Amino acid sequence: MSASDIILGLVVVTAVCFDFTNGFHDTANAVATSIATGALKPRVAVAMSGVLNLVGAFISIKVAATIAKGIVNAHVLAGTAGLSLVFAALIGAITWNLITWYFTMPSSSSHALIGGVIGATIVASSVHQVKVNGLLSSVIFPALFSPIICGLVAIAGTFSAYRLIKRIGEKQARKGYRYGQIGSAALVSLAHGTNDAQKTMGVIALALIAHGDISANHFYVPFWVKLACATAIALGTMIGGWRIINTMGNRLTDVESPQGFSAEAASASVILASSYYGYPLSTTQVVSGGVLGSGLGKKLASVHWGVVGQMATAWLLTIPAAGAMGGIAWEVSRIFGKGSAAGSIVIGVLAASGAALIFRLAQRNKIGAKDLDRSHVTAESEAATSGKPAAPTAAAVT
Amino acid sequence: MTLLATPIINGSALWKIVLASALGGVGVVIAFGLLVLFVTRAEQVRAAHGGERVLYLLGSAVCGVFCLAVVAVGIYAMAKKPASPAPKPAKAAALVAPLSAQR
Repeated sequence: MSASDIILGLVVVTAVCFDFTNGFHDTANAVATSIATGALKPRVAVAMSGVLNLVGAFISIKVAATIAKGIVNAHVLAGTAGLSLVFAALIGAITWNLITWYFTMPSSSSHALIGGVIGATIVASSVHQVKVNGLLSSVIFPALFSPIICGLVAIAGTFSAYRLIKRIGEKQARKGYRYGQIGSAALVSLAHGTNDAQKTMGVIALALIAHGDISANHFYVPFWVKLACATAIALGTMIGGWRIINTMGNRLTDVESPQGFSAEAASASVILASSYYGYPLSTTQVVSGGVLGSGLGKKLASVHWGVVGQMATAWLLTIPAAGAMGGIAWEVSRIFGKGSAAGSIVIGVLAASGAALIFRLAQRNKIGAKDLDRSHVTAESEAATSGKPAAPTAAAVT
Repeated sequence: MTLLATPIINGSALWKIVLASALGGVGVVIAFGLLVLFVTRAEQVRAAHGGERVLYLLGSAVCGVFCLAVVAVGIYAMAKKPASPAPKPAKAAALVAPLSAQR
């Protein structure tokens, strides 16, 4: 077994692990508001979302643009050194995903992966290998526009919903929007599976091409890659990233069922429209914009700007921080020789130890499904408390 | 500034995204609200006014169809989203050189 075989194996396993972290990191995108309003029980919500992520990963089997395409020069990803670079990038992305998960902050897994690739590329080669135009058009501008567009759509949707509620009657309207939330959460889950699982499939396919296992001339994604990525993202989703669900559903704003429905409808529309017209975006940032917009669209609703500020900081830091970690991972592996299996094994072991430490630390202030269960809140009680601040739960104040 | 931004931002696509998102996002919320409104009204007038009830049910059916159509369009968009073109043979070799070619 050659060094490149070992590194390829590490890249595949790490990419699947990244997909798993992507799943539990982004569960909140689809189900946070449904759980916050009590439309769905937490366990039911994440199970539904997991299954739909799995289905979504197979809906479009055309691989979306490979994660590094247009952002770094392709030749830096060639050969064994390229495999090592992709591995270092994945390590950087997973580490940042786990750090933001520990601090309960929703952040973009895709941006973490892009940051990892950029950081490792700069350290391995030079800053000139990064395509600034590609970075601006594929990452920075969509990151600026997408949450704003989604937020504005959610404001308009929420405003319309509350105008209609006056005519429908509080109880019936809220009951109706709760049912609607199940459908909108399902659509966002499906869209998430289609978008995010494809990115990891692209990374593994790229590694297989670099290794010579599949031909670049007859590019395809092997079925086992699709199955592994779809299963990993589905399992990650089913685990339930309760910490981030809590932030997205309870800490950004006090969400009621019409707001939750508006936020999810706006998010699904923006994600699907952007995918169709070829604008890459982060589902996390879109959904966060939607939730924020749903808070602003309701009269007298409270938006917790401190949490919004923390989240925006995490967004700003994602690419540089994941890049720094990717760069450090590359540097550590290079100590053992450029493209050596030993270097990759060492950074793999270090990353696994770091992940174990973060999981252990997270147990100290654990947030579970029970903490977030609001299924006891009926449409009637929601209507009765509308406009009044929600009673803080243990999880909401964490 | 505009000149600098032109090649980076595809204004046409961005405008289409804004329109499609507004139509889908706000349209579904209004249509779903109207559906609930019509169903509620149909229940309220059940006994007394048969004709009025049919109108409300018809209205709710139209709203329901609109919501389902938007979902169907969304799933179609997911399935038919433009894939990145497969690497062309000449560029593919440059994209990532297989190890076998380097040995």
